[in-house]
Amino acid sequence: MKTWQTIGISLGAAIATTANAYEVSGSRWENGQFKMYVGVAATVPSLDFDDNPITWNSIVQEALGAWNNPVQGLNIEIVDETRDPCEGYTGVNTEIANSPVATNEDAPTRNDTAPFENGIGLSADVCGEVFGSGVYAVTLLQTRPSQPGFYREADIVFNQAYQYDRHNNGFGSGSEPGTAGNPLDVRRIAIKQIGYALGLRDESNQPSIMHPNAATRTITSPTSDDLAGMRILYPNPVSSNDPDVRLSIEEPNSSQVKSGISNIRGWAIGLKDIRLVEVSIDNGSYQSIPYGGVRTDVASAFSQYPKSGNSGYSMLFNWGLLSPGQHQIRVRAHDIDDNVATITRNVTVASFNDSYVSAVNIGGSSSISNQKTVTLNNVNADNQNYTVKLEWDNAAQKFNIVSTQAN
Amino acid sequence: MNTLRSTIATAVMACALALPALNVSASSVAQKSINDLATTSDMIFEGQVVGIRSEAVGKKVYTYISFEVNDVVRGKYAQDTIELRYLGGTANGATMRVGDMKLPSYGERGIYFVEKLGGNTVHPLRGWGQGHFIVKQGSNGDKIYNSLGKAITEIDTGKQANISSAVKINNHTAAGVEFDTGAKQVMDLGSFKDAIRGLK
Repeated sequence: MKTWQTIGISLGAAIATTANAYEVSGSRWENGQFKMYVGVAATVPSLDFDDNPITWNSIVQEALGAWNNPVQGLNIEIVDETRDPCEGYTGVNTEIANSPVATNEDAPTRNDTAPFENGIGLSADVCGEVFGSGVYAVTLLQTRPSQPGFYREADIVFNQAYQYDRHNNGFGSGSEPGTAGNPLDVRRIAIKQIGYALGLRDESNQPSIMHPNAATRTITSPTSDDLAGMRILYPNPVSSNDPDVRLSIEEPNSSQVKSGISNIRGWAIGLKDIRLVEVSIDNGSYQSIPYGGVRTDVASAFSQYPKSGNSGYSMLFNWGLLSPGQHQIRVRAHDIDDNVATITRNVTVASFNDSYVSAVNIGGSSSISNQKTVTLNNVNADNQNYTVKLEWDNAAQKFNIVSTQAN
Repeated sequence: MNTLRSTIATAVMACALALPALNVSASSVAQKSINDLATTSDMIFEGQVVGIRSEAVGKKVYTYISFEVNDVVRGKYAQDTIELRYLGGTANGATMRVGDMKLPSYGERGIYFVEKLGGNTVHPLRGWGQGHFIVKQGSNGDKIYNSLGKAITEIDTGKQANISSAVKINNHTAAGVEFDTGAKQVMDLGSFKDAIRGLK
């Protein structure tokens, strides 16, 4: 009988990872509270799908909702009033810009007592500064003087020199973008600018609304990568129902018959740091499993758990080390305060006498039953004959060995 | 958690929890062709950052970046220094940011496409990050990179931003500027300047 102590020669570790690309600015809104004044005295002519005029208010509210609705830790208050985004930004320095180095570096500083309110609007300039060629919109951000990790004001200014609309097309088709014949999709630009306002930055490695070229693609709302970044900034609130440690075993699952070499994997998260994930088979001694794989899906679902984005555990295991039949796997996770979560799972193993088969000869007949199972008779594996059943596994998208009967 | 999909991928890319002054770019800015950038900028120079200062005016903060001008690549400029003004920065304890704008750092050497001399643009460079190139010393001379550090391998003078195709916004690299993240054939500074000078 083969025993669990042989886990010492299991085949090593593999951390499950998922690629992620979002980038954050380093500042956010305290407690996820963001109040935006969406009143914009302008109407966007509808030029495509219907003849209903689109208001800036509705577009801005749609863009705010694109972030607010899927991110539990974000609480955007929409106020249907108008605030000049340039309130308090009206001062202009008298120095000549982009010129030889000035000799008078002590230009006067003007005090300003304008309130810190988040506004949005259209303008021919950015609060007295020239947009520059090809600039569609700019977001101005203010952080708290003594707490640069928190924003205190965000204002968005659209360039009124361009034509806008709400559509799902790319930017370019026949005429210059931003003209009446080819208006810019204001919704995508608004979502992106609000993304800046909330603390995201450009990223260029994953499909996302914050990608530099997002507006030319089919992406019209925040992607999973965008939302993962936003949930890092604004985690879900912790509730009394959240346990100290959550644990999941994703492989093996109880419906599978395990054979050959495959993963034991899943994820573990804690309100405090997870210090150890370990596994025991058939009540044997525990062995630690490598932990810390990137799991953006877990982070999205459980952002109230710090470090949930790096919560994957995984190791390769040779199921041939176990005898055929039922076995019990127990995985447990400990946090730094020794709160523990444990999951036990019964697993059926199909294996040969030798844990590692080096020579196989299928010399016998075969038959098919129930349209997904193949029975191979007289399979010789390392000089022992077996009847081996293979069955199609939809989840794994392959045939698995589900039975090995020694003859 | 049955609904969670446990995608296993080979790529390993940690999310970037970076500090504010790092890798950033702009707001929604149209991608230009390198021809457009070169022919419509008031002046293009090779220079090095020798000074940075910021100043608050009301809620506004300006950052003035002083350059020693080593070579005027295009345009007319007779002075040895130039000071470019960026909207945003930190002054009097207050920090103002403009979207995702990237400012040159102290000591940086680069090629800079100035949109308008004496102008008061939000960003002083044409196309924002597209008009900002960084020079790094390699084992066999000076090499050219874009503002995000990607190696430039070629200036394709025949490739222009074509408004009849999908036009990009907010790209850090102008159309016609080819780059290679593997940095195997990085364009040298002299060839880059010659290419920029030759654009019509």
